[in-house]
Amino acid sequence: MLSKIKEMKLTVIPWFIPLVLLLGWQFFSWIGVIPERILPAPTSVFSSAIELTSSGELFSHVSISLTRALVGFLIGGIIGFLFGLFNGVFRIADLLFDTSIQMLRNIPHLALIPLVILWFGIDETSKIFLVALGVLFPVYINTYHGIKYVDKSLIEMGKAYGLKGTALFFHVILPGAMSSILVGVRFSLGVMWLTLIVAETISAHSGIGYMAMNAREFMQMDVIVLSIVLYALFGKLSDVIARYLERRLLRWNM
Amino acid sequence: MEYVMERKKLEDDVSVLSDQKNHIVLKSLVKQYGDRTVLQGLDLEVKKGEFIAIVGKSGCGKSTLLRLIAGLEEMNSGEIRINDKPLKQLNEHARIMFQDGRLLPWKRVIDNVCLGLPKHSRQKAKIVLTRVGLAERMKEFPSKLSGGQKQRVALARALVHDPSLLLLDEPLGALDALTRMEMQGLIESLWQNNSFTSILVTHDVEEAVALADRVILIEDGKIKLNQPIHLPRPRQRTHPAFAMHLEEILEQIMHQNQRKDYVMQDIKSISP
Ligand SMILES: Nc1ncnc2c1ncn2[C@@H]1O[C@H](COP(=O)(O)OP(=O)(O)O)[C@@H](O)[C@H]1O
Ligand SMILES: [Mg+2]
Repeated sequence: MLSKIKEMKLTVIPWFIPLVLLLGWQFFSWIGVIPERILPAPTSVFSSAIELTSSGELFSHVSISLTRALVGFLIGGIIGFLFGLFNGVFRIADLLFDTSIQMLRNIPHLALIPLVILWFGIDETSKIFLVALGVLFPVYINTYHGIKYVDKSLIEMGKAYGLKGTALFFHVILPGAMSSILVGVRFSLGVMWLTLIVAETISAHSGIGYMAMNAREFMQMDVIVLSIVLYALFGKLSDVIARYLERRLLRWNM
Repeated sequence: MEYVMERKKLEDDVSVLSDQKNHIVLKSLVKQYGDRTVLQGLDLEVKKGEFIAIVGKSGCGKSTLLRLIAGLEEMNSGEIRINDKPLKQLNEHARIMFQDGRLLPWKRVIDNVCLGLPKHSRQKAKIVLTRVGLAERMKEFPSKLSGGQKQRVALARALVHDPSLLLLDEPLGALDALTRMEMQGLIESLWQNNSFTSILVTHDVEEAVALADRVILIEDGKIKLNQPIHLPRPRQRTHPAFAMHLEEILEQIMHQNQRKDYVMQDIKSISP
């Protein structure tokens, strides 16, 4: 009984401050301290959300943004993971690729936007390319380090017990590198959203960022705020997914 | 001439027939790391089923010796013969148990024991876990176990392969005295029931005398003492003969040190 109350407290308390802020925001909009021109009330953001949902417009923007995020993340993540893997495991790959990758890593990928627009135009390819590029490096670095610095004594033990090749990799090296790899995944999820927001805001025909930029031209403050809230929600969602992955894959560590 | 040949042949036959066949032969083993020589011309013969204890200062090359016998590392010169065949790669007959256990933290106890075994060996792993008294903890992760329990799992993991040679690298060094005694008893009874050869590295001379048929001291990369222990098992530490053996070996170790350690000698000569 007591522990149940305690558990409820633990889930409720973190939401206290957001709730107070939301109510305060609503209240001050109501009495006119915050003008609609500067920041629309939560209720008007909510009603515009309902309006856009029923017209189907919101759904199409959200789904195109999510697709870009996911496809870019998968392409960049897989490439980064594979390079990290090979360079971590094979010395020759390490010598061949690592220095070049480290050099490329130092170019801020958002600085490439003008170039990328000239290369790919402003349709899907350019956004997916930028997201993939941003995601690639954090995944690469953390996979590479995770694999390079797996406890050598565990590898020696594995060999002494007859493991080699893929068996050694799947039983010892990969699980040993997993926590580092997941740090990379979590970090790159943040990069993924940031890249997408910037790319969609600067140049796009669709997506959440485009919706916000379009609304700016018509001074639709409620739609702009809605876009920001959506980005925040999706950012939170990807964080929850990353945490879930960590809990599942690193269960032994708890 | 012919007589000598005849006799030689006879001896060979006898040695093949006898159960006391040499299991491991090390000949003038040399191992260097960079320009640091760890083992310099070490010779040792171990008989089948024998229990050997190796003692020596930390850093004298005990772990290195075990790694060489396990085939985990290459020597610079010399020869290792296992069952009369030169050891070329990983020693398939041997399993090694380390001081720090080296359980895989991401595998449950049972899966740690099954490491390197085919899938259908789970039943056997359970049986071995029962033998070390940990059957009911087999679904847990190693982080939930005490130091002594972890070493039991490590022991089970080594034994499940039915090794004919068990290499123990200070396996009990990190345990408290009571747990250590308990584990010594366990190792001894497993050794007696399974007739494998054992090489135990330890820094505890009492442990060496309690368990080994022969205690070996390594110093300056060579064997400086090779002392058989003729005491009935299980050995009573309180027995006067045990104390005598222990004292004898300690004395010999001290004696070795004295000859080298002039400072020690000076101190001794001052004190009455
Ligand atoms: N992989 C290695 N590379 C370089 N030196 C090593 C390596 N392994 C052991 N040594 C050195 O060899 C010596 C013997 O080590 P070790 O066999 O571990 O000693 P012991 O087990 O008797 O304490 C030590 O001086 C150690 O520093
Ligand atoms: Mg050692």
